[in-house]
Amino acid sequence: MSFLKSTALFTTLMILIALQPDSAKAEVTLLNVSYDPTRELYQDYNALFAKYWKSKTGEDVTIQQSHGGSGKQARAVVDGLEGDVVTLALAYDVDQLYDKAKLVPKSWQGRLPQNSSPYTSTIVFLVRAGNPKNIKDWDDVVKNGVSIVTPNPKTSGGARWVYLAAWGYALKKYGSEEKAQEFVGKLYKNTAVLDTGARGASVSFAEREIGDVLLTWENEGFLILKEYGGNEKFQIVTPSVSILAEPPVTVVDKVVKRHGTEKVATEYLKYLYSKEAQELAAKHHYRPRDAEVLAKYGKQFANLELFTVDALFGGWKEAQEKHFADGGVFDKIYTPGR
Amino acid sequence: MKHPRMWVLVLTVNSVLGADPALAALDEKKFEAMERRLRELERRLEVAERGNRNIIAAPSAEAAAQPAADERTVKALDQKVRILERKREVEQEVAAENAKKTPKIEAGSSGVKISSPDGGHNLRIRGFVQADGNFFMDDSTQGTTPQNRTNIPDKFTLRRARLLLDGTLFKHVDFRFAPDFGGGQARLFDGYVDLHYFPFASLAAGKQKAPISLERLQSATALLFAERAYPTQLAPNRDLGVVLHGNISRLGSTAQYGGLHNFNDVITYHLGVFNGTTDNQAVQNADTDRDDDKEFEGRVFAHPFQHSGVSVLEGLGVGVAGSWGQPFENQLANLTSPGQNAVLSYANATSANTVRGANVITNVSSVTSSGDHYRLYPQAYWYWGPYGLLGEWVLSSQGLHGTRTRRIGNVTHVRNDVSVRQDNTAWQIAASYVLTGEDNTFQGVRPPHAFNPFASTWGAFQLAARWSELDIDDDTFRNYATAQSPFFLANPQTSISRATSWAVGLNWYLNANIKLMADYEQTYFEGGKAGTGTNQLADRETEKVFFTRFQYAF
Repeated sequence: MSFLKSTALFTTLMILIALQPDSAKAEVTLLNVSYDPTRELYQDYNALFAKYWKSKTGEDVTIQQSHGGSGKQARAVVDGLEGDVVTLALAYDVDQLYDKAKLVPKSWQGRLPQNSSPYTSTIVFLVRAGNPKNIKDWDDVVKNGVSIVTPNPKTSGGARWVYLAAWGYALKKYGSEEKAQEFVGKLYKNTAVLDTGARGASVSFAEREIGDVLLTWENEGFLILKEYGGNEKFQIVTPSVSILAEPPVTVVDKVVKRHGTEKVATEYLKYLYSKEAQELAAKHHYRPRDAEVLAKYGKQFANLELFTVDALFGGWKEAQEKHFADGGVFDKIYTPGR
Repeated sequence: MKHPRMWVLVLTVNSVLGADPALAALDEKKFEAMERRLRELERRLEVAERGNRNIIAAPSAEAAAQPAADERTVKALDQKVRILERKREVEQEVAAENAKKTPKIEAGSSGVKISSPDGGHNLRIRGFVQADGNFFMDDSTQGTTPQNRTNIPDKFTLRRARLLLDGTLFKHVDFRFAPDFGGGQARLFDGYVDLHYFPFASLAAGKQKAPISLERLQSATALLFAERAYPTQLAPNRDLGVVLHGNISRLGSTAQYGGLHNFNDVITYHLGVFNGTTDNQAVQNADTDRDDDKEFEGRVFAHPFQHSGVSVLEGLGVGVAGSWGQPFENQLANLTSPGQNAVLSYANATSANTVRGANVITNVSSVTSSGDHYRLYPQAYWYWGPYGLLGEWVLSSQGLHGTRTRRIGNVTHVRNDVSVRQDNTAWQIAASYVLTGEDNTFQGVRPPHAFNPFASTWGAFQLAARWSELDIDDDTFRNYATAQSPFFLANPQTSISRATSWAVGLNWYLNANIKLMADYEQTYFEGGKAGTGTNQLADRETEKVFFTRFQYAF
């Protein structure tokens, strides 16, 4: 073979290799920036989605996770953490991505069904086995001598749900904002430790054995039962009234456009509404949106009266400004130290 | 409890009865008394027993309750300890998080530095003040008339008072803003931005030191003598423009950005385009230019033996700089002696008016820099332990354009129009030695121990000596007109054609911030003074000046 021919052949081979379809070499990576208690859910969901995506497109997808207090995670994304998707604890934190950096459109919440919340949860009590302080409802946690563990509403999305759940209960029972403020004030006076996130609060209560009651996500309560010795050590107490927590999800538009991951990221979130993903959410004790799946797993979710943020507080923006902004109600009622 | 009581009773009776052998003889009265006494003893015994029971019974009840109380206390204490521990952890977590957002402020002998938490942005506030005293010697009694006496006033002066605001933005953009208030003027000395994404190719724009003279590039706080030598006068001072610069480290290591003028790496280079300035042009606030032609300036400087292991040569730096431009009728600046007195002044003057009939006659002469102007500037230094040597030589070649016109009434008559090439040269060699043994460097001397007479520490002392010469092209002093009405580009009776200076100095670095300087410099001139008789030219008197400086830099 002449030099020219061999050169031409080599060049042709190189071009063919270079022009191979993307699918043969494609591998895509997503970063899911989420809040504290979703670690276990998304570990399982990522595997489920990767399998689904591979079968659908032939593409390998690796999903990395980042977890922390919801508010802190939102700030990290605003400050440059390149999350392709965010799955945070509350809509207000996702709104920050629009307000502070225009990373998502203002109407992000309307892009997926049910306000972009593929699963819900609520706030329950976790007490020590035998319920030594006889805690049955919100009034019991504000009694003298009860030591509460819950995260800090300034840094934790779950904590804000706790705060609003308590406020909503008091408002409904005692009928006035003043009484509600007094009630929530008592609650935080009884709080032994304000962790920065829900997972930290779980560690304080379950591992460090601090406090009589942990106010936390329903799914986090079940996770503690599973991880820390079950009913022999703890038990879940469901209050008469609590809040319907709707953790939202969205694609971070500017990031996925830069990464070229818009399609897979969007599909990653849409698939959360599938039967398989809803079952997975239920197994992790998140309340599924899918009625059939909810009915199937209905026994594990206690019946209680649930109110929404919109109904009682006029939406997250109003709730945030009134209660959690600097100088807001929380700053007035919470005095560090006991 | 019965038996003990009985035994006590019996023993008591026995002891009472047994105490007296004449029991049989006791009468009834005595017996009754004894009986009363016995009852009394019995009562006392009962009381004592009751007391004993109480004493025994009470501790038993407390003891029974104690374990439960202890357990409660221990549990409460345990909770408190756990809560405190956890709170401490949470506080540490919050503090660590806050630390990421809290700016870092450092203040010390190097000024104030404010840094963003990630270190990507910072602002450094520094400055220095130089308070000088210049004393001229043998200058007050010369001259036969008040007009030609050479008395030069001794004076205290604020030579420099400069604020240095340096900063970094986004890790790779540096800036400097440096106003100066010395000499009774407010001037901006430096104002530039330097993009240094790649250490080998950074781009600076703004007002900055021109990359020509080695001694000019040395910080004013690190100078050996109060005034720089002649070569810096034949180079630009500050100039406005854009410069590409970079530094290259030894093979196998990565160069680090070290500022616009870096003396840390094996090779540094500068290539710039500037408005251009004339020789010894003072720093000025105006940023005008007279023409479209710009001045190109370049410099390359190397430490060829850096990291060679030959310690005696590691501090050797050699380089060459040069410039080329085509100024158009640029005003020329005076050159000065070490005592900052003008020694070369070009013929820019309007002569006294003369009335001829009804017409006013005005003579105007002007000399400017026009046409090609280039400089060649080889330079070197060597530092080894306490020894230091710095030398540079410069050729500044410029086109001079001189005109002299006479205006009679409203009519202008050009009488002289001269264009010549002026080649001026200057050089210096300066040696220094740190008496106290500290390292001598281009950046100055840092005493390891600050001056403290109570602890017998004296800072650092440095001896310095310098020889410097300036030679002005002879064509500058040629008469381009007639003997009766001569026209010089620079009047040889007032401007010198050559200056030779030697200087010695002692510098005392009290600490990293304070430096005291005492220099003596003597300068011999050729020309620069009117002679007597047919020889109309004489040498200007030798300038002897004693400089002192109190410098504070932070």
